[in-house]
Amino acid sequence: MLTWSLGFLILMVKLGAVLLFLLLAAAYLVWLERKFLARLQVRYGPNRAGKYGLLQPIADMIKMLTKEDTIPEGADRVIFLLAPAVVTVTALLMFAVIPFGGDLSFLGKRIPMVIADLNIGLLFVFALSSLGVYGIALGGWASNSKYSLLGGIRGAAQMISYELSLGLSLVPVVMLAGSFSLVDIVRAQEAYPFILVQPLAFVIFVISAMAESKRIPFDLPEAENELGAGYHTEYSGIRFGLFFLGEYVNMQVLGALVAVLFLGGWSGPFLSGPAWFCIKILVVALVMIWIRGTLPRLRYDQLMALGWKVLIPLALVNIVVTGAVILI
Amino acid sequence: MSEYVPVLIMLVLAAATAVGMLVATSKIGPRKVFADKMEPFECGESPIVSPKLRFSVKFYLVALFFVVFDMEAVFVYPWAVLFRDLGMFGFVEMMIFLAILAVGLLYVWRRGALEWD
Amino acid sequence: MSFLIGTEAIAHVAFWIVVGLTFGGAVIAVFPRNIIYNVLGLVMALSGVAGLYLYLGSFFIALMQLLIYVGAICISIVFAIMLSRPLHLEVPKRSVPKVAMAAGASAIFFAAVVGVIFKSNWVPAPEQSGDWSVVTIGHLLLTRYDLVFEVISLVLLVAIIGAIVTAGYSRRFSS
Repeated sequence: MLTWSLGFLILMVKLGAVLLFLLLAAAYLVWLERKFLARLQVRYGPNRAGKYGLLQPIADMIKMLTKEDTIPEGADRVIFLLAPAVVTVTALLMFAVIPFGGDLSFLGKRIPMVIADLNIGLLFVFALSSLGVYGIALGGWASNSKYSLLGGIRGAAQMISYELSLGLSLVPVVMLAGSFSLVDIVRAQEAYPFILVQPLAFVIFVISAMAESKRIPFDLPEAENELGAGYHTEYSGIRFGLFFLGEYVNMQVLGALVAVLFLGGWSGPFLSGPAWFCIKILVVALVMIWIRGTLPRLRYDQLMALGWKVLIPLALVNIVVTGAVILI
Repeated sequence: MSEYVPVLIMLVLAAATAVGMLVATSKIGPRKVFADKMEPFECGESPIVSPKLRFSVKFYLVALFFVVFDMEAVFVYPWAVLFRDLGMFGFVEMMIFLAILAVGLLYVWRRGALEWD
Repeated sequence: MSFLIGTEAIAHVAFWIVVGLTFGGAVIAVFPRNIIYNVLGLVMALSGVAGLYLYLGSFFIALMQLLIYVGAICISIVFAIMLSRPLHLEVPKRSVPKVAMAAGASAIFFAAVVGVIFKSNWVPAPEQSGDWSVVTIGHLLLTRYDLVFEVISLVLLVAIIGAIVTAGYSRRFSS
């Protein structure tokens, strides 16, 4: 009984820490993005709330909570209410299988620094990211606005197209590691990170993951100069906030996946595991913001052509080549 | 079974976070309803709703192709884990599988179903 | 996480929750008039079936169920609805003959299934292994059932061609 309650306590502490970290980091990722983007565009960015605008995320949070959440006329109320929650929950849940450090010893027990080391962790991530499409599609549909509907349809088509290249690009990584467990994949990179042997898979994965998270240059579902704000045009207050939160949690999940799959996860010299892990996520996030500051938006035909005619065939070729090289 | 329990607890906590925020905002926020505000967004006028928004059938084709190729990917995953065990036999088997589907992709491509213009 | 192995009672409760999800989803999939609720009911029922697979000890199959049925097939149905029906249109009225016909057809099918269930001689599932992990299933698929595996790719090819044909793409774009 004692070990049971101790185990449960440890689990709850881990869960609480991870969730709190994700939410806080999402808030400060918004600050980082605004600040860094402003610097890239020779502006100051937020600098009124607190020193360097450091209190801006908190101010934004309070603002969103105290705003009225309007439901447009003719909208489907139940689905309209649930769609943003779907986006946030699926994004948060993906972190359940991502290891953020090596095992920790505490009171003679080994505590793995992951919430659940599933032996098919990677498939769990794929399944959740395919469920995330519901939030976009239903949110756009339920708003009873043509901008939302167009954004929802664009978003869903884009996400399902890039889900394929996302999944296929990781097959060589699984072939090298021989496991779907993200912990095993990190362990398999003890000698060298997979980015060195699988640069093509890395490029395909990063491009498709950015398209999955609908960031510039793939932000057609929310292209502001044609669609208002796309699928979340009608959302206000914290419901909009939940979409936003989901987007930035997704960004962290993406950074974490890049770190785990290609950059050797938590391993690194001198610093502790979780610290290295955070640094790697931060680097990926900064590169993504940098890309946002650099590239213009793609056209829709370019977007679809890139996914179906370039990334998917390349991912298939990469699988074949990797297989042949390992076998011969 | 036991390794899924943490996932389940996390699902409950994440859902509670989201629902908590939604409930909090409905308690805190003001609520002033009047007809003009509740209309769906249009830039400065009444919404112009065309009776029929028509979409290209290509969007639906994308969804169908996605179902097919997702199924393909699902069959590739178990092979990827077992790749080293199965060796050459499994590799050849998978190459045949992929070749047949590559023919499918090529057919779709040649038919112009991937062109958007 | 050995400390979390629950008692029989917890497992039973989990089982009935999953069954409830499946049945509840099925009811929602049939009765509401708004077609998007029907799809969401279907999503619920299929997630329930994924839960059943989980209960049977294969997380892999459960995830495949989610990935294919919920994440791909239901998404494409939602997509079709978004493309075809604006939200503000009135839902059509239920027509009695159609309901009667549907009820009749399902009754016949149900009777057939019940008949098969009672006629067949049930043998307990072979206890040779409770191991239905991705490795076991992949191994069986790629060695013992290799022909089936290759035929699957042909079926998928036919599905691609079928998609193009049903979308009315047959002659227009073949230059």
